[in-house]
Amino acid sequence: MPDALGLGVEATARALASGQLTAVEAVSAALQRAAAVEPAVGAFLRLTPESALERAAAIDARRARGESVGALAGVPVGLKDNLAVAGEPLTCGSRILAGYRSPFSATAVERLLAAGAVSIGKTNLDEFAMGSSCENSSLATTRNPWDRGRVPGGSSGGSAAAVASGSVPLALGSDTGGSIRQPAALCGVVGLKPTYGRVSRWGLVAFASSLDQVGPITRSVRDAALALGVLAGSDERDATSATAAVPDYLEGIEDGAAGLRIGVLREIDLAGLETGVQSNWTAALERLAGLGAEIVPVSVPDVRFAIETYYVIANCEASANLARFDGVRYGRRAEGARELAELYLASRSEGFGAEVKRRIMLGTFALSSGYYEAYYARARAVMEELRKQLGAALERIDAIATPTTPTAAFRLGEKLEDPLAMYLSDVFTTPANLAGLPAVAIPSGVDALGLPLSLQLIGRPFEEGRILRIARAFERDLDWRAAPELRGAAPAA
Amino acid sequence: MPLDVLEVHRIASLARLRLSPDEELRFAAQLGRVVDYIDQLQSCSAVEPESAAPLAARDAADEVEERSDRGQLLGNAPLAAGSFFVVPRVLGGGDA
Repeated sequence: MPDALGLGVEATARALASGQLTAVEAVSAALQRAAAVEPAVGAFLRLTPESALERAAAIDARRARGESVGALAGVPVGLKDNLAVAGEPLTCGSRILAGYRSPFSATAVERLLAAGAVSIGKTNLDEFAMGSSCENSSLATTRNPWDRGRVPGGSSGGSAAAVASGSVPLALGSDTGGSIRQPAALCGVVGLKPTYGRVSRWGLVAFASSLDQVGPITRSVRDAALALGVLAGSDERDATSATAAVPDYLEGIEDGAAGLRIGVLREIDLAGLETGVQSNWTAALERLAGLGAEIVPVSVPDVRFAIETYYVIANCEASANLARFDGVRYGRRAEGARELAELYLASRSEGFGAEVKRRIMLGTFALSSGYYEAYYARARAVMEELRKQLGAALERIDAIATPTTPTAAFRLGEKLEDPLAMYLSDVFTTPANLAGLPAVAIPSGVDALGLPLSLQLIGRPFEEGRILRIARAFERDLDWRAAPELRGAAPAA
Repeated sequence: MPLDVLEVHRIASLARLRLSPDEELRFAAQLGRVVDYIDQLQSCSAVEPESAAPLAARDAADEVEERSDRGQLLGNAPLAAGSFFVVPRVLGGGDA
């Protein structure tokens, strides 16, 4: 039996298909690994070993009978806990959804399971996916597998930590302003935010509907491509899901970066980057040039306003989307309210954490009479302009490269009481959401403290294949094999 | 600049949130800093978009579709009776 833990998605699927590994063995190995590292990492809110092993056994039985079992049959996966699974709890990292069980499954989950993947549990997140450190979860603390005194990033911090600590080779995240890419960067793994509409949002609890997108977190670029092929496709239950054909994302992925034009934003302020990020970013550009890519400066002036625009648009949409949590139809209901208005007030005030309250209030403020034009209407105008500027730049180049984050993983608690400092973590990731573009974050080395750093590639709409191809060339050339040690927590692999 | 505490109170009330006096003070400072930051938007020269609808959403067919079981949906309600959600009195004064 091959070492199931060291295998990625593609290798696990291959070993399973060839009979070298059974689904029960693969899933058992994942569960054992999770049991060993979870006390130190806390990536999962809930592990579901019984249902996972049962499902794995069923897949093995089907395969033994010669039935078709799907491209990911027996591959263990983790699911961010803002994605619905029928009959299971769905918490969004919030107290307000206590007791809730989803009556249906998210389309992305259905597609993954239809391909034979086996969920071993739900991963931690910032409450309602609002945050960049996972510290806004009301239910658990997730630690960075590389340094347990540091954050895993967010909001899909649990998914990134689960993949980085070796419990699963694939976890789903959601990305509204960087929530897949930023934690992937801080945990030294690959995170892909597909084009808006590429993956159905049905069953993803809405944060900011015009920006939210589901995507994979994996340890390799090829695994991200494989997962995207399974997740992507139109869905009549999501009116914004795209009908564009889904290509084979692995085809041409090894073609290298030679001859491709990669844009570098003139607006990036190198002085705003940590020293380690600065030198790593310079080295990453040299590496891309060494691979034969042409590095060209491009100007996207309004990218300077991405954070401001994002925090207006996202919070306005959040304030509307989170109005549904009122203590009446599901979730937590405050005791003792004598009137309906009092029930709303009490249930929401008890159920939401501080960051969710801040965001709802910012959105409410920006949409309120007297402020709407200055904030929401203004942000919409900038968003449109930014979309045009990025679109125009991408007509002349194949991708835009940026560092994924301005810093490596920061310490737990460091930015918790300074929301604005936390928001600035998203400076490089928000433009892709505002413009609906695909973007991938890939490891680019470590800083002086041994913390992972990351390169982001932003592509044209529905051309995930092109950024994955560049990312693969970069990954192959870097040949980065570093992994967190998790001293004392891991069994000998 | 911190937001006025009365303004924080007004926004919280619009958002159907009740904040403790301590939360009001903290949020006034934190939200004030964020609002100062997003005020930079006023210096951007972007013009108003022609349409407020950025997304190419598709229309769904106008057909009745059974998606979820009513009993299952009501099962998630903190308080239900028969096929109804139960709420306290809507117009002030009475018991739930």
